[in-house]
Amino acid sequence: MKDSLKRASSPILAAMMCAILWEDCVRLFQIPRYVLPAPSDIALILFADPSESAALFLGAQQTAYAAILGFLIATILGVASGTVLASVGVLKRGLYPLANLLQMVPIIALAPLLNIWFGYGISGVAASACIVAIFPIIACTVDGLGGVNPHHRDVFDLYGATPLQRWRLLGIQSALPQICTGLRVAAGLAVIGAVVGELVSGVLDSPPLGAIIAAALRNSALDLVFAAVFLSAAVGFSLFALVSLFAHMLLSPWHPSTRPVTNQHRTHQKTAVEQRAVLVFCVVVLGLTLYAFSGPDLRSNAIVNTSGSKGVKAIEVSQQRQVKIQLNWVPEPEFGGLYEAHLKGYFKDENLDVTLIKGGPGIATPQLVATGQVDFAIVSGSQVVTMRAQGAPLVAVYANFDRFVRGIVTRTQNAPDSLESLWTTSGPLAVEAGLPFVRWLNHRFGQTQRSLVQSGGSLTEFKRRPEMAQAVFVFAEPITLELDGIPTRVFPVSDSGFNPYSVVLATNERFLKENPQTVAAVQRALARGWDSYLADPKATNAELTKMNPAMSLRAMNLAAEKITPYVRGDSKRLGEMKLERWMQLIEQLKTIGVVENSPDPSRCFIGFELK
Amino acid sequence: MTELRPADPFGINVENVSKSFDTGLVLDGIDLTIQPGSFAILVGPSGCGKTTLLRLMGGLDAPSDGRLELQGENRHFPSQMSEGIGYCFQEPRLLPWRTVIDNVVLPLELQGVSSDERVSLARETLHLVGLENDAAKLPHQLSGGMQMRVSIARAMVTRPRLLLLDEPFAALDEISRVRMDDELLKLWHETGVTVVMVTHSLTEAIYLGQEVHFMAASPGRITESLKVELDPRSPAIRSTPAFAEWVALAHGMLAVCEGSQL
Repeated sequence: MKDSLKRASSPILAAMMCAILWEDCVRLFQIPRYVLPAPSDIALILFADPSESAALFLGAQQTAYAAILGFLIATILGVASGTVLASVGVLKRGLYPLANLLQMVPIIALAPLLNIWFGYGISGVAASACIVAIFPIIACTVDGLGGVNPHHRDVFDLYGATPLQRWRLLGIQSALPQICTGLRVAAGLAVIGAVVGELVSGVLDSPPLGAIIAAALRNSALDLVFAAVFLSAAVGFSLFALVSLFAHMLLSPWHPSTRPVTNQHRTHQKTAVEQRAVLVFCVVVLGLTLYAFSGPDLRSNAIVNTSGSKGVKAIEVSQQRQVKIQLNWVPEPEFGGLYEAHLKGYFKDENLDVTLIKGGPGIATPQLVATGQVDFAIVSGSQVVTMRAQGAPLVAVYANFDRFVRGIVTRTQNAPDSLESLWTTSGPLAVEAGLPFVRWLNHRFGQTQRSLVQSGGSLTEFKRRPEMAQAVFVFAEPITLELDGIPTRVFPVSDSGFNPYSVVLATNERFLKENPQTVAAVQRALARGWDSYLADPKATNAELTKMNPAMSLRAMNLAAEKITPYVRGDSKRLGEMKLERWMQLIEQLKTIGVVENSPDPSRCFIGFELK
Repeated sequence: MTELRPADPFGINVENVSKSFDTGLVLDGIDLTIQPGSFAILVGPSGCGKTTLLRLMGGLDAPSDGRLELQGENRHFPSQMSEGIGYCFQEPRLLPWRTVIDNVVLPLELQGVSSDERVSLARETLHLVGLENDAAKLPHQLSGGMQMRVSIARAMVTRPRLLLLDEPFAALDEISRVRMDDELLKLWHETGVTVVMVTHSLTEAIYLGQEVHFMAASPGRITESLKVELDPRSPAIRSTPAFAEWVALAHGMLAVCEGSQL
């Protein structure tokens, strides 16, 4: 008892030391919360906020169920297929190298398809856990069965044992130590597989950890991301510990690895030196901690303060100014104006050398631009608010879409008559995790009757199931469906009164202060770009489809036709934003609990007058 | 312990048996007759094919040429030779995850004997080797000598008509070995089983064997056979001058074998 306490105490102390060091570094270097939260922020989420922590622990429970189910299936399938591979020579030579491929499956790529193959709910997630966990079990079973002591085999030969007797009484028993090692590795992997699966598939009604992570990433709530990551690590460790304990119980009567090593003398000598080193380390950490906590916590407005430039002259040089714009998705008509300005040379006319950087799923554009990794980035209107609420110096400079571009699509023959009736009738609805408008619609029309499932960006399920509804960009997915011969009806979310600016170009305050002319030049070039693109998008679309072959030219042209009312909206000038709209968005996001404190709406964006 | 006596111990007829592996000829034209119920010894230098010959008798390998007959019937190789044969390897070869009694039970389990019957048979056999109190222990909790006795019990549990022993005590110290020899002798007396034993020790060979067959290497063959007439066999004869003479005689014959090899 005393021994096991002593053994457990070192890793716990080490973990505490790491957490304290982390906290110190975050405070000393004033790393903002939206870049790296401190352990105290994470602990606050985990233990202080009852609603937040209840959701997290419920999510952890769901993840644990899926991981355990996947692990058990992997164990049965792994040992069974390992046995078959080990006992049939032809299969071992032919299939075992193929089984290796399982190890190299980029599960994130397959995860969106798991819904389709295994259905929604726990089965798809468990399948993801199983795929990730199964290889070490197969490999260890094959190696273990191959390593049966030939001396023991002689004994079984002598008494004419049947193949089943050999497997049951000799093979599995001999392989047990290796299989247990495989199971322990697989236990941790199963949890990783489950979380990856949950990131893009599974149900959202009571979100598991992966879905919580996806949602928190979308809303830049990194403290929540880390809390969920911490919990998933805890689930993984628990499963690992459980399997290790089970393995120990199975092997401890006879296997040498389970016997304690007793070498009192040597360990005694070592501890004297070790103790001194640990003591010195603790003193250093303590000193650092006292220093770090002596000042106020400046992290929230760290970047804002350092960028408080006093009369920084806006030096406009004659040569071309290099500008990096980070997109949050692959080249599609939603960026039509940007590419048009680029291809037609409108940026060059403003003396700008612009690089448009392609995005993709999961890219953290708000963080990239807030920390100055890029000069501009495409973000959503809601992201500007959630980031500013955390003190991020993010400023919207141009709204590519005046009207909110999100909507919900259903088949024409099943279409309800309004967004409200869609929301309040039953049936599945595929959405991405963490979209604020879902909470808004629940607030506006009452808790939805629909069961929310993750879309993973795929339309396959929608095509297969007529009763399916799916959250979409109003001018993107419906076009694809139309081209596939599925007539649909689109319900724009803006009809519900939730109408944030979309595909917003944002910069950070420091860049804006130091380069006001550049920002104004980008605004002008973009307005020209959109004007030209809306008039005739064909030439630019032809270039876009070269960069993004997944979307055909025909689909791009059709999308561009539908885009105009969303780009123009009610604004008098392309791209210009109004204070009331930002005030309204902040109010709405506060009402539905996406942000707790309101940022100053007038600092969320800049107008066009700035020169 | 009369119930341990097999109804009918096997005799063995080995006729012109040869065995070769990839590495070359290991046994060359072996002729050997072993009487039912006798105790036969194979001695010879390392690499003379003693173990190979024993494995052929046990059915673990098939001869390349020649015939092996058990009690007049010609057994085909490879075939299920286990019926009526007990085999003890150079090492105990116990399954480390099984208790002593579960190890002893194994041959009966593989032959499909009912679990009640096999436990009672195993307990009797453990009593025979003096391990009735260690039935629940695991192999790693036993000394080398005790492990070897478990291995003999496992070979005996099927009540074999022929017991093949391959240097069973080679790894033991002198004192344990002498005691094990005494126990083996007692076991033979009590059960009347035919025993063929391979050994390196001429003292052991003379003490146990009624017939000692000397083998030479490259290729393995039987060069001499010696009938040991020492009766009655008991621990006391070890200190008699007659015993010492027999051992000396055996040494002489072994020297001849090795000489013939050169």
